[in-house]
Amino acid sequence: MKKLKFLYSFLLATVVYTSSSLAQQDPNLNKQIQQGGAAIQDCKDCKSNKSSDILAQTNELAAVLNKPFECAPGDDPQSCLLIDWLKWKHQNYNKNCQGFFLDGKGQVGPFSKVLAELMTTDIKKNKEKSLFVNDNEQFQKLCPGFDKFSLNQKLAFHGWIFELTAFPENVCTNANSIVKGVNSSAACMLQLNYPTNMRSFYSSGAKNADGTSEKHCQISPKELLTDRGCLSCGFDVYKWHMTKYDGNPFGEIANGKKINGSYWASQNPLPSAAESCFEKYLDAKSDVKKDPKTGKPLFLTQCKSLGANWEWTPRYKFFKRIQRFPLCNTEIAKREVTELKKYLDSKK
Amino acid sequence: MNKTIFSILVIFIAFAPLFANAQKDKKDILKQLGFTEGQYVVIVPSSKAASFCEDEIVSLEMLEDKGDVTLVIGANLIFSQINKATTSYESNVNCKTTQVSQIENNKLTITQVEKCAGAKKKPTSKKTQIDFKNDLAELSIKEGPHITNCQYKIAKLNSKDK
Repeated sequence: MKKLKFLYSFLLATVVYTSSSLAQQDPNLNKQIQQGGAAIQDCKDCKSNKSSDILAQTNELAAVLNKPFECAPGDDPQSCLLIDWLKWKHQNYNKNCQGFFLDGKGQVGPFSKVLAELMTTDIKKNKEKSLFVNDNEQFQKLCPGFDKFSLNQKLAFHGWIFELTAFPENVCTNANSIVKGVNSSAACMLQLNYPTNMRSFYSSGAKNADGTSEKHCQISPKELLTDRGCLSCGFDVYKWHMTKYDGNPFGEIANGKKINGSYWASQNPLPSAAESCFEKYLDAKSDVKKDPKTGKPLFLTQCKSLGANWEWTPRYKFFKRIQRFPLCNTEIAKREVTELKKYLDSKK
Repeated sequence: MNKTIFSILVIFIAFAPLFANAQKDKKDILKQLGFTEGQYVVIVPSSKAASFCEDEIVSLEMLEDKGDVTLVIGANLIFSQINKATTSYESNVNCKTTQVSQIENNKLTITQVEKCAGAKKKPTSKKTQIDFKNDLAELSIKEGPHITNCQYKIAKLNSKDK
């Protein structure tokens, strides 16, 4: 299986979804929705884990999924920021990946809709036990502030992770996606195992609170090559890992390394010296000179001596990209927000 | 006992071992392989190895789903339906893989032959062997005309190492 693109898309969808449901809690928002737009407002009791509150928020999300998302004066600034960011990403991201973001009118993209439906269905079934409701130590480490996110913001963050996976895997498309994997063909935008028997166990392991499980990966190879089939099976893969590793999709850490899992298995943290080396070259975009023999950037030779290797490049990028989520309290997110503001100013 | 009941009983008793064999479960396989699930560390071979063989920790686990047993090693190596002596599945568009699994002397051997409709090239074959002995799993994958694309050992981690 390839590794990283998956996460990115999912997050996007989730963010949008979350924002809209929150908007409905305000009478003014309802008015806006009746007028054709869904504004976004943050919840009044974001950290509530009461089943009734969770279900109410989830139902609100589901109800506004087909409405355009808008930000009105007086709305929660954080939620407005998310909407602006999602629209911006739709503009400046790869065209294939636009389905993970909000279009110019604020409509949720088709990939995000699928993911939002999957997550809200999971929450309705599992309520406060849903993995998408809970705080998460790993996410908190990557994205300080995650534990303070509202339910909807958390869902958006999960969606972001999916999108981040779908992009590097096959540029968010199922077309021409079947490639030879390690011991089976990998297919679809998430590069899941093509043969059904090589992936059906993921669904069985993604348990609900009542012990039942979904069957999203128990589909034919043909179905896997549809947007819904691929994203739904990817959802079960994601949930399988979260079920195994106490809510953490990246796997278990032992001796400072992550235990292999699936997509997220390759996302071991880099040794600090190697990370600094990657930071220096990749972030500075100074990897222009390439080795004529290998075609790989010359700087990799230097980073390799510090413990990095070619395969770690996507790992590095993945973890950095996660932190772009605008609500994370990270320097990378702050830079992202600054860029977004420049973009918005340029449009005025 | 009338004749009909007796006949049914004889048939059932005669075929029971076959049914039992066909339905080999996870417990049987673990016992036959002398294998314990858990965390292993990949020992990098001296020869050139695939990226999977990097020095890293992997989990080895046997999963059972509706009678099908799947061995999962780390992120990428998935051996499905190893409880069945022979099975076949759609492995690519217009391609079908026939898989033969054998468990003997702590060793799991999986032979896969892929045939693609309309393709001029000959069927491709892959043979995977995993030898479990003394908390060490030696894995070798031989594919087509190439002798080896990945050959390495994975050693079980002691609990104190975790």
